[in-house]
Amino acid sequence: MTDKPSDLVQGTLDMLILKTLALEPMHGYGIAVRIEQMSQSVFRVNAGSLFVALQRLQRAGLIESEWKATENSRRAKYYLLTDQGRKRLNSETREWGRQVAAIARILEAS
Amino acid sequence: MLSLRNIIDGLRSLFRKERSEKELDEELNGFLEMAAEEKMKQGMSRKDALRTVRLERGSLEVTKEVVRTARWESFVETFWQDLRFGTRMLAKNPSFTAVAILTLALGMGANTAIFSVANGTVFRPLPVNNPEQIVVLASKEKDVADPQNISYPDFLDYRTATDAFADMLAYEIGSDAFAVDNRAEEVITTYVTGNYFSMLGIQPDVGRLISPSEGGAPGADPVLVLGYSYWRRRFNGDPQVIGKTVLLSGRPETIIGVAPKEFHGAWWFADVDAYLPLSQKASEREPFWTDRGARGEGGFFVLGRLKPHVSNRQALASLEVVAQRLTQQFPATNKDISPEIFPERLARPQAGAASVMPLMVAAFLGLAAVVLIAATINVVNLVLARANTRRQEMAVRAALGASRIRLVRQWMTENLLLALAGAVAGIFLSAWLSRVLAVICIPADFPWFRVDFTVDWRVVTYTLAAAVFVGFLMTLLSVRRASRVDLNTALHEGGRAQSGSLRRNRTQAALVVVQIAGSMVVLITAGLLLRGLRNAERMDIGFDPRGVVNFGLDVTQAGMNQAQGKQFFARLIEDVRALPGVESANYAHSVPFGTTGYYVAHPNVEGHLLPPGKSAPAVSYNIVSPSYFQSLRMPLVTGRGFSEADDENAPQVAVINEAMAARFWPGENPVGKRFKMGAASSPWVQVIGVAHNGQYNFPSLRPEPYLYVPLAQRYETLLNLQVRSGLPTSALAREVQEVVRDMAPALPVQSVLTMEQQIGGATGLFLFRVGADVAGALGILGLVLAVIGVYGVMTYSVGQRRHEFGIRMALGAGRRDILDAVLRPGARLLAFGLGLGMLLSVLTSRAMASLFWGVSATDPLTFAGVPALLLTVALVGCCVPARRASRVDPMIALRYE
Repeated sequence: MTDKPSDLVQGTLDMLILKTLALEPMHGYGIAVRIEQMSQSVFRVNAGSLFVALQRLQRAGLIESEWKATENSRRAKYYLLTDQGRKRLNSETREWGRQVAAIARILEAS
Repeated sequence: MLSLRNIIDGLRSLFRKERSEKELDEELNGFLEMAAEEKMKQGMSRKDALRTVRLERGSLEVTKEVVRTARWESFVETFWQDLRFGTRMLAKNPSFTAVAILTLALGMGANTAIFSVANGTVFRPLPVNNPEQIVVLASKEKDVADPQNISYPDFLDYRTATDAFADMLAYEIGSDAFAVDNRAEEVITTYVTGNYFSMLGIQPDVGRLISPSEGGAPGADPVLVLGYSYWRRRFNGDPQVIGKTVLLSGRPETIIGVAPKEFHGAWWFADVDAYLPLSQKASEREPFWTDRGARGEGGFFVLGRLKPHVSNRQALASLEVVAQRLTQQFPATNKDISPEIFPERLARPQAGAASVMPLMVAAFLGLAAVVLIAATINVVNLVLARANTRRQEMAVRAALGASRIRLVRQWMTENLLLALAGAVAGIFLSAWLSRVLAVICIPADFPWFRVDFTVDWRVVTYTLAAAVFVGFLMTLLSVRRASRVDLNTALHEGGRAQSGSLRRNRTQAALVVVQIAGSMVVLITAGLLLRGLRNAERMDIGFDPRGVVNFGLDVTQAGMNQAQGKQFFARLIEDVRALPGVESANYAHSVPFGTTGYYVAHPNVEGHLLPPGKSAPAVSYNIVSPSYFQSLRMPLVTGRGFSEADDENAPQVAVINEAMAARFWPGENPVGKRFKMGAASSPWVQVIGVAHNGQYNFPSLRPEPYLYVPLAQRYETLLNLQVRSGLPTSALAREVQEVVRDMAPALPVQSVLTMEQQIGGATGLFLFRVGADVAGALGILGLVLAVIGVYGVMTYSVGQRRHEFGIRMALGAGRRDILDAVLRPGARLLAFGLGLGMLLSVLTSRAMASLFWGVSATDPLTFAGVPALLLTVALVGCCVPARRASRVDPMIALRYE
């Protein structure tokens, strides 16, 4: 294993963003940093995928956004979870758990 | 997936583009700044930090592009860009654009016109509530080809099948004399069951409509509803006509209301002038209330409204239950009768149409589509030529980073734009064409025929769909040339196209082959139809039609009873015979392909009497005056014709035709033999003569059995006065009409038709003629397009090979060699095209022969003439550019470089 940050598992970025926002509203950079920290630098989030995902989630009504000042008094767009987003996070987390357990069982079978 | 939110956000960013751009810019910038600040905290310089962030996270511009293209609205934006660019490119090359649009407009116009005819015939629904629930019912009689109208008693019984039908109505379409304010004229009438308007869901424009409680008892409810356009025409749209009494064929009727403007009656091809309850139908001639056997001519159009979610099959099943009961109960009239059901739109003008109309429509739409493809191929050839000259532009765009998909998309947008422009021009062209078609689609014997080929949303949708198809087809056929950009050669070549030899341009060569084959299919179809029509027009109808004019008269329209009618007919023929210029005159109930109808007998032959319950095959018959055979110059094969002595007091007699003699008395002399016209209780009829076979109710290739009975022994109120004279039709018509007016002022002459008009009429060759005319026009268009196609491709190829020819000639090649070099590949393509066309034509001509009576699928003249014609004109199309090539001055050709 190398220390090089790896790309995210396909389709998990949306779930990770929702999870991050479930803790507190956050701007784009904050989300990226939080995901990297929580994954202990296993994942590296690139700006393109992050903002495409944010745009997609917002248009699906799972998150909302507003412009606010950061702690460094810079203007930034903050994203927050909607009720719908919270529900989606719960269901996706459950589904993810099921799948991971299933994959683990398959891999350990032999 | 597009949610509402997604759509709104997308539209917002489309229409407030600057603001949304700025926001994205600021957000991304902030992101990169924050990331850089983090790095600077760890001691990097600002420049290094920004560079590292760009490497790790992606640059601002790329990210922006990625985010932007992830939105659906970017598709719209690109499309809009392509559209503007495409328009500019087309405007820059106006001659190309004009020729392409004009060519497409011809193909599209022909398609749209034919579709609007189909639309006005089988696609547009009746303007009634839930028209998809309306079905046409008909009686199918064993051994009779076409389904027939239903007798009134059968209708009443079918009506009890309430498990499948919400309601059922019956009506008849006919004509009457309409007299009010000292003016009588003939009008189109419909006699209806009381539920006619309520079942269809029609609301009156003025007054009230006939109600379900009316029309049930003979003679009751003398009321009349005016058709909207007749109300406007005759009464100037005056609402005061309600309550007015008019004389309809001599019977007083009170006007109670006016039908709405959009409703013309349930019979598609008429615009009904007056609606009356069935109880007002003159029943002297046809005791329709009780005669269960009065089907076909004596029967009614019956429409049913299916209950929701009931299929035609279910409805038919429940009718069959009723029919089985009727067969047991009334074996004499209902033994071989079974019900049939058709969707209303296919059963226009009558149930029998349902078996041919869809095929006919498909055949003509197919022919038009072939012509459209031929037009498209011509434009593709132009586009391909242009693709060559635009290689450099494509190469530049590719060099600047446009992906292949992006180039193809741009190319497609341009083609779609061209196709849409062609479609719009085509719609205008077709609006004019369908006016022409609306005129040729009115048969001479139905001057009141209502055709409505106006352009509606269905027509526009069809044409737009055709345009999209054409746009895709053009792209598909030209995209390889347009997007196959080899940067190096294209940019080096300086825009000069590669060699134009046809062998290299495989696409173009294939297109020429397809085009010639397609044109050949259309031309052969047209040729077969035209030849078939010519044969049909020359057929032997059994007598000499020249100089014969038919005057349709129905004495019930003047309210005459049998005695008055007989007297009137007897006096009229004497007076007409006395007119100067008239050679002879006679009466007949039916005329070949006429519209006055015919009767049917089931001859029961003496010595071979059938047991009760079994009936003989149907033979239609005519009711004629004694002068019939002489006047029409119809020599008898054997025996004698009718005389004045064969009157109501003499034994019943009949003249039969050869086909009937062969069918019922094979190998015997039928003269003197006896038969019954139907039931065992009917009187004996003796055969006194045999006439030559002819044409009768409908055009037919096989001689049909037929018989004639004398008018004196079978009274009939509806007759054709057939007059043979050397006078012009209009002069004769005026004279005869004057005689009629003198004798019976209230009696309108229903129709004045020459035998030629009758033969070309609605039940005759009318459809055949329209089909042949339309196919002929399409054939000419296809031919012209094919020649232009061949000429264009050859000219282009010669132009591309100028250089090569110059070199060849400089090296000593003669004119003949150059001609050979051009003509040989051209001839090879023609041969391929003609071969393929012949193959396809063999298939399509079979279909045509099955649709149109009298068309031979193997007509030698057509199958030899069409390829010869195509070959000749296509060779001319090759020769002109070939000659030009052979006259190339090598000096000029080489210096040209």
